[in-house]
Amino acid sequence: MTHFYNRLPFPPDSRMTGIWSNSWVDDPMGDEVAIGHLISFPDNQDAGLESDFLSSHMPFNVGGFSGVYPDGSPWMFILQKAPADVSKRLMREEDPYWLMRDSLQRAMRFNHEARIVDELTWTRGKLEFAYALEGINTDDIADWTITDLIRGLLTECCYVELSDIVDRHATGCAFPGIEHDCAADVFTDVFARWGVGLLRRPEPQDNYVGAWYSIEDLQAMPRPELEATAKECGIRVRCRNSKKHRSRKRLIALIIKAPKKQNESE
Amino acid sequence: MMLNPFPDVSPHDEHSPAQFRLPGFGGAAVFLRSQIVPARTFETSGPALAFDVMFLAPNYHVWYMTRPTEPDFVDRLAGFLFAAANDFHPEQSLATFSDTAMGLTIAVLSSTDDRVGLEAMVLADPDADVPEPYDLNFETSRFTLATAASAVRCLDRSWPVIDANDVDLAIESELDEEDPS
Repeated sequence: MTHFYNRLPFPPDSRMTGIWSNSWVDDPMGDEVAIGHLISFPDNQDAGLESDFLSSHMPFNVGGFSGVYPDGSPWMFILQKAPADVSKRLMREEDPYWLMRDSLQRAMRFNHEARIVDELTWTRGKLEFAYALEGINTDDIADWTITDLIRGLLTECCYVELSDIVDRHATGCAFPGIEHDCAADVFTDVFARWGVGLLRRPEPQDNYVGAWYSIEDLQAMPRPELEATAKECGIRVRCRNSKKHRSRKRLIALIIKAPKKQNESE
Repeated sequence: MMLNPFPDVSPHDEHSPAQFRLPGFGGAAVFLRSQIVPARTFETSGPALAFDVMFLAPNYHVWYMTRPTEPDFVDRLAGFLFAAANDFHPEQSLATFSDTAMGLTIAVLSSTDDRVGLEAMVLADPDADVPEPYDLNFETSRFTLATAASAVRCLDRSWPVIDANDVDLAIESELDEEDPS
């Protein structure tokens, strides 16, 4: 499961049918924040067209994906990012996400049947934490922009390992060793390959149990309980060859990916 | 009789104008909104339907209010939209939709298996000696055109509405007509 799918209320068998990333996003200006909205449409509307229509009226839109629920009704998840201080500077709004919510509401006036289902917000720290949960060293993404971090999480939705994207980001090629028309950008490479149907859902792996412990539960656990859970999953709480304890982020990442057999023996 | 499920909400709050929307890729859309205007507006023999026309793109948004139409406007537009969705090559087979009184034309410029390219044009003043057209070129999906072909009937409520009271009456009258023997 991916960061976005883990957090959004998708019923089982919901399907992603489209994904996009905008190339004309502004360069970062100071601290930035990001927001994502899950929007549902009535079943007589076209997910691909309505996503394109709505996002065209949202100038802070970075990317997103669309699809259908099991009953066939369409939805979209759209991501925006903006400088954290702009709402306060231009509109005297303390809430840094205000301008992006306002932008969405303006766009939705042109499709009065669209409904907001859920909202997620991120600071840079929260985005980095999402990467840390996948076992990625945050030093490796220290120079990534908020836009890069969001695009990385979008590539996860295309059945690509986030760690592969981080490893290959500097080279600009997402699929070394595979013949393809390389876009010299890992994110574009992934979206292009997904768009032509060459990336597929991997076969379910028996040895992952991410769903057994939700990230939110693990984050809320007191340190002793977290360590006990880690030990039950066969995870060493101390770093190898050191007396230093593993960080909370690392422990949570390891528990999420703990082998199933060890959890089954609880 | 249908009871108001929200008795604290006045009918004014619940009411929304009959509005039709034909969206396209890239944030373009044509909106039509209907209303009834008094006889004096168009110097007709009685109150008549009038239409507001809106063209929308990410960088502009124009409204032309209270336009008259030629007869059967909604029927003709519904037929045009359905044919645009359904024809293999609507850019070849379909004549431009035109309503002179409203000053609106819609032409099909291109098509693929999934999409249809349209050019919508509205005259700023249909009665002007030198009409000033506003045009909007956009692509939409065949799926959207097909649903628009029935949705457009909201403008004069000509869709097949089934009234629960009518159904009951119809059943009762059928029962009345049954031969008791």
